[in-house]
Amino acid sequence: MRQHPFYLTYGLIVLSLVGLAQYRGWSLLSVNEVKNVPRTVRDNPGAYRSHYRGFPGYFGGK
Amino acid sequence: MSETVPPATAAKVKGFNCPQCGAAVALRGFEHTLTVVCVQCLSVLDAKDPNYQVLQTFQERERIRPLIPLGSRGKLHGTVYEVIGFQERTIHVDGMPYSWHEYLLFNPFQGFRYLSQYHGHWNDINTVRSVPEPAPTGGKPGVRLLGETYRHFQSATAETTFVMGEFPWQVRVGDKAAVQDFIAPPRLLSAETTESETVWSLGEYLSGARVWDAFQLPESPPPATGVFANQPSPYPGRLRRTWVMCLILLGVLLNLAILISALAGKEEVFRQSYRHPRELGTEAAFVTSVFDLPGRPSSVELSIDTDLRNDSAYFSFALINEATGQAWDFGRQVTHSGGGKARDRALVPTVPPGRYYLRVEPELLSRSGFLNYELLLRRDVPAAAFYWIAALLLVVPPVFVGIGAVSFEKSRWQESDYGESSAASEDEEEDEE
Amino acid sequence: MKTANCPNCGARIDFRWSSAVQTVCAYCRSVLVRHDVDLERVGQVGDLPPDSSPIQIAAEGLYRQKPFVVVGRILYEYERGGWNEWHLIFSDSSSGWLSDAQAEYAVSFLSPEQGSALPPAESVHRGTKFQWNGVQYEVSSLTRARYRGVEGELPFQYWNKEEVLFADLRGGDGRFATIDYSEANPLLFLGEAVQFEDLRLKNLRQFEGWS
Repeated sequence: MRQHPFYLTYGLIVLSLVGLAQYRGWSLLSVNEVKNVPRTVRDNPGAYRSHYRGFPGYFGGK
Repeated sequence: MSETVPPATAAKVKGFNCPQCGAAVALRGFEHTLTVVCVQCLSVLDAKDPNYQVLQTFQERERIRPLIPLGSRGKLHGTVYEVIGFQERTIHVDGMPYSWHEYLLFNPFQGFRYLSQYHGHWNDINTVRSVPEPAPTGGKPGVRLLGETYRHFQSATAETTFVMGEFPWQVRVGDKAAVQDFIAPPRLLSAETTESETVWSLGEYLSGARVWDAFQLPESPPPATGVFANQPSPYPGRLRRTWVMCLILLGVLLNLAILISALAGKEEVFRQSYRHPRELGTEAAFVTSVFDLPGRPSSVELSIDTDLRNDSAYFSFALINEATGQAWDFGRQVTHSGGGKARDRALVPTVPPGRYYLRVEPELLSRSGFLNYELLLRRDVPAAAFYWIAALLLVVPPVFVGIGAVSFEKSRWQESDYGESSAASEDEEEDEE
Repeated sequence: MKTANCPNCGARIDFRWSSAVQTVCAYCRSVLVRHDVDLERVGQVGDLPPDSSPIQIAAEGLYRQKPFVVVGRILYEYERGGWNEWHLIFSDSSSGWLSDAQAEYAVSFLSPEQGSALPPAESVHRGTKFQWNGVQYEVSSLTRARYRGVEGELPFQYWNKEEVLFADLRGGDGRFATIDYSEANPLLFLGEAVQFEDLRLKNLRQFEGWS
């Protein structure tokens, strides 16, 4: 075991990152974080549009 | 005991003058030497002839300086040997000449040994007296000796292209012998056939450093280039140990995943069922009631469970913090495929604690009937993807080592009769000595 | 040990081996054959040519835990050099041979299989296989050698030979066989290759420059 200090270190780093990721709640989901959504959205949800709408959305058809 | 038989006199080193050039010549191999090469004019002389008759004169050719000077003494296998002979031998493969050097080592009690050198690779060679038997090796021809199987590496005709010093056999520049090499790294078994007989010899790979150490030579040995026939691979042990380490790390990863799964909260923070008539098509956006996300910043998992049949719907979501107005915006396409239900999940990263609501905008095709679905939000849910990524990252180093091992063996066999034709690869170090 | 006087020159001859059949007077080089009562001079041998075997008469060693003394030798020469057959006497008075060919050593013993059990010289070729004592041997070389001389005590009469034919055979595990065709009845010797250090030889010959 002591003959592979690099691999062991690398492996421990990988495992630590996994632990950190799960603790901090990381995810691979592509999410747009938007700041300062106005409070009025609560009353008028239809008025809300994300600033960076990346997805084309689903408008029917293929 | 009275000695009535006079003991044999101590053997003396005979000296004489070269009949060709007059230089002083000594026979350090005592009576074993049959042919001796004058160190000055490089004529081959008959050591057993009273006049040391000249057998061959030196033709215009480059004089080679042996790396281990003649007369050097060194210790191998606990015995001191003296270098008394040197020769360069050459084979031709695909029209290209390849030469190596052989050093003849002598000890009056232990006899003769050889050291061969090619491009910085050394071999410690001794003749073997047992005859190897042919053995199957699955592919190449092979032989078996002392419980070890050797695979055929190369067959070629070796020509003696330069000689210096003394030899216990007849030697001339231009002598040819058919040589067959068989390998079982770190060992090399060679058969040399002349008209009269076949002689087998066994060599063991030696590093230049060991040779320099044995003979206490100055400076450094020539660097080894490429992979030699019987050069031991540094990989097998290393590869095995790397995979063992990999399994250990994967085991730790598995335990880590189990531990994390046990410790993760995975609490349900919101659950609601909905029902929309389909005729209206795309639904208006709506917001859910406010719910609490307690604890530390964590992931939030949204599950959508629908009763879609042969149909598909797109949901646009925003998780919005009621107090700060910060939102996480994403969309999910939910499709019904084959058997089972149409459901989907999304994991929102690192959401700080606080009071939140969800904005939902379903986009549906207009048709008859209703769409029933349920939204479920849970916090502190581990992401399975990271375990797979970690496993992949952990496997990468042993795979690389494996590639290195395969590449090493490919380089080794490239030099054999079974490698690709070397006419194509001019960028490799296949240059002349 | 028995003592006698050389019938030719009167020198004292000490026998190391009670069963010696032939010996050579070290001083006048007369070949002497031993009868019950006295020594008979049957001929003379020339000086042995210079040779580099590290073994000499009176050297002692060990083979398979049995101590031996070197008491005699036969020297041969062939186109690629020469070799020695040193005659060994073990502590139980049995007789053996240590061959030294360019510092490759082998110990062999006269096999009781003689006469008709051995193939005639004409039928022996390189690659022919034989079996003795349950071991397979293959002929590795046929050597026409010249007898160059004898020294010391031998278990049979052996001198003044013209040309001698030997068949060398190799078996597995470093085993070795030799058929000596110098006499009308071929002689078979069976043995094995040995390493120099395993023989633990003492009282060896000295070499200039090697202590």
